[in-house]
Amino acid sequence: MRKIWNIIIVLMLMVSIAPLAFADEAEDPTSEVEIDDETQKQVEIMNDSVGSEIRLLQLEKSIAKNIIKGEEVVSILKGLEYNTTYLEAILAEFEFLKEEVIDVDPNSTDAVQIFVDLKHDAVNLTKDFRDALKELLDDDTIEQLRERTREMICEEAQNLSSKIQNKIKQYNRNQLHKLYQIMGENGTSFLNKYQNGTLTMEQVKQQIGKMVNQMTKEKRYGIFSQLKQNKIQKKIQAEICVQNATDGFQTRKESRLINRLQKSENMPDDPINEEMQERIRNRLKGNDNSGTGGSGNNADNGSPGNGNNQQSGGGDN
Amino acid sequence: MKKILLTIISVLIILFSSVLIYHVFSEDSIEINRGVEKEDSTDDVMNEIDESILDENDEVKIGEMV
Repeated sequence: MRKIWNIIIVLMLMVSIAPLAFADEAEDPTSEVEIDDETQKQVEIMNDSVGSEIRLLQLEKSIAKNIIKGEEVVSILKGLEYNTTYLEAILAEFEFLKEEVIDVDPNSTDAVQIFVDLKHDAVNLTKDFRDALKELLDDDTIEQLRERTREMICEEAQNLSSKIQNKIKQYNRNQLHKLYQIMGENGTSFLNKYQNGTLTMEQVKQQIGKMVNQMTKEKRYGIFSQLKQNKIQKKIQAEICVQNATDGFQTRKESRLINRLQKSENMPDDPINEEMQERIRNRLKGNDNSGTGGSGNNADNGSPGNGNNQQSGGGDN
Repeated sequence: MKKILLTIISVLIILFSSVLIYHVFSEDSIEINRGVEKEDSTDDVMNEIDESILDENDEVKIGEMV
């Protein structure tokens, strides 16, 4: 009887362990930060200097846009007599972050690591701002603010957009140039026309499509294999870079925060600056463990409390 | 009582075997699908090209402030 029970227990254990044994990916418990798929995909082009420049410019643009929107929100709330010190402290840190992004050398070997770090900070600061607003305002007021800031035009972001588009054209041109080389064709005239805007990417692709169609099955297969191989190489490279970015993530984060704190301490004293220092100190004490990317599922520890972002009695919402 | 226990054991064995068979089968079908991919069609080449180039409106998203 006892034996039978033992067999049952062993079988039950086997059944319950089976899904774990067949799981596709095991999570690495030693990893300091989880890097989302989107970021992982984004860094794939960063082994190329133009690709690296594109990602950093795109990050700078997103930060610039958020700063402008944040400033608009602050100005509206100031008009309604809210205390906006906490929100302004977040924006002040955002400014530091933007400078850090601008200072990154796209050709440096750790550009991917820095991109991952700074994107993580940008996501968290954005979330902090959103959370602080939620504590300060009701849903209707937030919705109104959302509407007002949705279509805001930011000159700085527009300038960056055109810079990014030019860089993307240059990147695509390089990619297509490699492709023409694989095909053993000369596509310089098409590529020049694409880069100066005479031809669209669709038109260039149509031309390539025609050429591919006329090829022998073997040649097509050769091109396909080469492209696949390049893609896999890029993915592997990105995987290595991302792995490097996860190592020492917390240490780098702390040193970034300390740098910002020192920078802020060298600035003239004012309530916003003091609030920013307080926020940074709180996070240094709290040893932030937030994950990166996407929806910013974990906020930094700097709480929007501290009595600074309480409604100042205007009662306008 | 013994009958019940034997039934339970049989059910568990069947369950475990099913999980095992399902896993092996699904792995096989993935392999088979990989094998029959038409790697030489123009569309596949064009898809690879699409993946190697960037959309001009591509951006790095960090979330909305409001």
